[in-house]
Amino acid sequence: MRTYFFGTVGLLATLASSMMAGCQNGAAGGRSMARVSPDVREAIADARDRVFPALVNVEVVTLEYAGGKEQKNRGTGSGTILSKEGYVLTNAHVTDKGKRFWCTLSDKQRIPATMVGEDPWTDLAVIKLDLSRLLAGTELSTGSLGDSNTLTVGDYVLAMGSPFSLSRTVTLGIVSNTERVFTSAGTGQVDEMLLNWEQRTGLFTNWIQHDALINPGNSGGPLVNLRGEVIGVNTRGGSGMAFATPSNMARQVADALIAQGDVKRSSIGASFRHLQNTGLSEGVLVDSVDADGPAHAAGLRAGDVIRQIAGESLTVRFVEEIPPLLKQLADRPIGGPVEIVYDRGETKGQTVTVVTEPLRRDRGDEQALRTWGVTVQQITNRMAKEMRLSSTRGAMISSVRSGGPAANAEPSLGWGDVIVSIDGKPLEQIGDIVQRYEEVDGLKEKPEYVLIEFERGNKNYVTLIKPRPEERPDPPAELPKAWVGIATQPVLRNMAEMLGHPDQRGFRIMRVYTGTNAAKAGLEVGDIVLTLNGEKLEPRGIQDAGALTRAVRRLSIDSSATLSVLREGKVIDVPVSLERTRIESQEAARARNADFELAVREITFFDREDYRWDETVSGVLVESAEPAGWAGLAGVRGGDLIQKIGDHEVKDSASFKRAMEQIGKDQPGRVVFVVFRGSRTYFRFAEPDWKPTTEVEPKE
Amino acid sequence: MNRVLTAVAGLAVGTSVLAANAAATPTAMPAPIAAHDGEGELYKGIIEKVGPAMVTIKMVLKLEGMGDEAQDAEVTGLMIDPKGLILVSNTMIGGMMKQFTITPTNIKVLFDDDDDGAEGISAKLIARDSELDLAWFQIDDAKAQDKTFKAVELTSGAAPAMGDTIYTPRRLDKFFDRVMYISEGRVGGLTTKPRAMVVPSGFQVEPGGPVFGADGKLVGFGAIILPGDDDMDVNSFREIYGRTGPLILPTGEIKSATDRAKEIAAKVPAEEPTPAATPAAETPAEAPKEEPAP
Repeated sequence: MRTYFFGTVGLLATLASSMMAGCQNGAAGGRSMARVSPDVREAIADARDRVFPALVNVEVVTLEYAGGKEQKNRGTGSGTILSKEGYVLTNAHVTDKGKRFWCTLSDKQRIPATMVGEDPWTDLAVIKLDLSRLLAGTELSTGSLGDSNTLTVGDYVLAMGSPFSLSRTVTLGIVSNTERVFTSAGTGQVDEMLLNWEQRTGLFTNWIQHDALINPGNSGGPLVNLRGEVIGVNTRGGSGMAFATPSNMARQVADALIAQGDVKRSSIGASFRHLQNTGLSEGVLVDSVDADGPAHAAGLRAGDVIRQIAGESLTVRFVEEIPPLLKQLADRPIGGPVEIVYDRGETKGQTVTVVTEPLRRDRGDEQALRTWGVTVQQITNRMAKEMRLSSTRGAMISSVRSGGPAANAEPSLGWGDVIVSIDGKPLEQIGDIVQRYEEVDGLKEKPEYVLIEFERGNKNYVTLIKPRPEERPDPPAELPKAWVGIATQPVLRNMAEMLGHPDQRGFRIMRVYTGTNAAKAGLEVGDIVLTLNGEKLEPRGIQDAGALTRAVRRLSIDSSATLSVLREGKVIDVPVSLERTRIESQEAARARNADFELAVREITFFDREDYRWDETVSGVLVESAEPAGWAGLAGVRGGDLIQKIGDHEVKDSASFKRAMEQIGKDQPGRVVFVVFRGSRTYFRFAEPDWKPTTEVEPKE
Repeated sequence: MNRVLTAVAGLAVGTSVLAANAAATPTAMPAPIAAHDGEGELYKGIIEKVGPAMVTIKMVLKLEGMGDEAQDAEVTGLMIDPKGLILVSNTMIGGMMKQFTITPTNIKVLFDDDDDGAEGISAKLIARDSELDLAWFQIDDAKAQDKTFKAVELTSGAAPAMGDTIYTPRRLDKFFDRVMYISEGRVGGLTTKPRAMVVPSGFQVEPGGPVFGADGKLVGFGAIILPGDDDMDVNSFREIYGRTGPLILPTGEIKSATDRAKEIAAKVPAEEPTPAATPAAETPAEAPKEEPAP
């Protein structure tokens, strides 16, 4: 079965169809509700009122590692306020890689929040509202977690959240299944679900399946029973089906995250298969054993049938019983002995004592080594196994910047390479590499080369990289040529006849650019240029449309030319001083600001002409604003004309740089951008986070 | 035989090596050639004379404003001035995509006689001519300040005529150690509009690839000429490059554009940014009169 995490909003194209589907569902719901007793309707309203005020919309700025550098992105989801202290329960895939968080409360206050802890194994997370940012007198509403074990198939449930980032919605459905697991077709075994392609999730979960409509953006939102209790956390969905993590699991995880920031779990390094179709009738089949895990060390092997764990007999007949077994093992104390009784072939009732080890995350942390043009990732046990690495030593390259030092090294570094030493110093883990990188990067006199030893497959390589910052030269200038400030179209034979001068073909002036020498010379729209410096211009077809421009370009920039033009039936000579071609947008002076992740360029002559901006309009045009950068989050977009930043008027790239430098020094909590877009101005309010959490771009 | 001898002699004049120092003095002409291998000697002659001036330029092309995409690029350029001015095809460095700004960065020039592992010397793009598909790099590396480079002079011979034999030297990829080779063809056609160009027949010219006549003189450069903003009938050029490959832009036009580029190169100090010049008339003027209302 294919299901989807519903945290990231971006499928706007599906919004319309989803909304239509929602309307249809609503109509059907309306008919059935007409037969629902008033008591039920009251119960629904009561349940809504108990939890709805505790529902929040969660906004997240994430930091992704790709292309050899860090990149910010945005995501949204939903959550439930659990306590007056401001703890909010949501999904881990909503907060994953999050660096900044905001929650919009029921009273529409948008409050910053901080990470408390994430548990990818259950896809749950807790963030905490910054209570100091609440308006005075605000009373936080909270939702209470109910007992998910009391749910039965057919119970009414309400799904609350922010589908597609639309604030605060509630949908109604019934429980379809209380112990859903996702299984692979054919094998009947539990599907391996992954967060970020690497981190296993949902191992311990029997999902609550329901049909209350959820969509991207509902993730982390509460599933509520008619007693007004949160009995699940909406996490996955697809094809009209929704899946929630039971509240009893959520309570346990949230308590651990609030208490200690993570959930400590045990592992014995084995996986299991239910007995259906095995010919066995009791116990559970050991499906595989990690060669370096505790179960293997204790003597367990794949194919053994476990009959007892810690003195308790067990039989796992069906696939739905696998998650509870895994959870039971995971909940045991880390490092504690577990007595296991098992059968192996005809030998029955053997006993081993397995000493558990911590269950470690599958996915390693990442870091960007910007001036080397790579991102690196901590190697976990799971990664080492999956990638057939000899150990977890070193750090794996997770991405490379094209054209960067690592990509240009010979041999070049690539994804999957494992860096094991730098300049001859062995490296054990990612922290060592980052430390060595920072040492080199911090040197005033950078070494010409850094010697990198890395492993690829079973081979050990060395290479040299030349640390250097990315160059950002100005765009190259177009070779200046001679220009007359007019736009023309060819007047061909037929057109000339229709215009009443069949023997006088040439180029009709469509536009005379303001402020140019052409305008000063008195050229007019409607004039037909017949000759240039005495040479006849006789276009033969539309393909000759550019012939006049080309002929002018061959002349010297500072010379003058005589255009003989046909005006009102008379041929007159118009001398024009030629000028240099105006610069195109590609050549315009540019500026960047790393803090706000904003790239701008100056207005060109043709911008003014195209937008009909006269000389009173000034500013810099936004070339790019990273969507999750400070300016992007404020709503500054490519194509905006920035006219003012804070108190600083912006007229050109130099004044933009000055303004940003001053703002960088002052570090205000809010920066107002006044931008011109289309036919009007907009105020955009940026909320910089000046804490040096990351260096996204090298400072200019 | 005579034709070939004339060609080799012409080559020595037409593409004379301009280096001023002793190391760059033209090497001796190939030994007299036998009739049966005359073409071979001609090929060798072109390679010996032009090869040292055909340099490899490595760079990273940055696409501005599109998530900062970047791509490695390697192009062949022709040294046209002993002071380090190199001519390349603008198309080959992203210049044909006018809707985007593509800026070459981390530019390194590699030479045939570089030591093993040499990373080349740095250069900057001083100007491009989108109309003629030309771009000029200037070596600005402090290490090469007083160095003179082997260069090919931009002088043209007689105007090419239909059926004339023409030659283009090229470099293979890095995999083949960028070895030089020659392709031979004929003048298959001559255009006058939108500008005078030579249509090669029997072989394809590379964008930026120099083309020589049988007299050894430079005929022109492979160029992809695209319609400009003023050209209304953009469909009129379709398929042309699919059929013929780049056409050959005559040397005369290249020379006059290069003279302008040299003026720019002379004005720009080595470490100064390229002049993204804003004419005075384009300097944004006053703050807007319109006072926006929140």
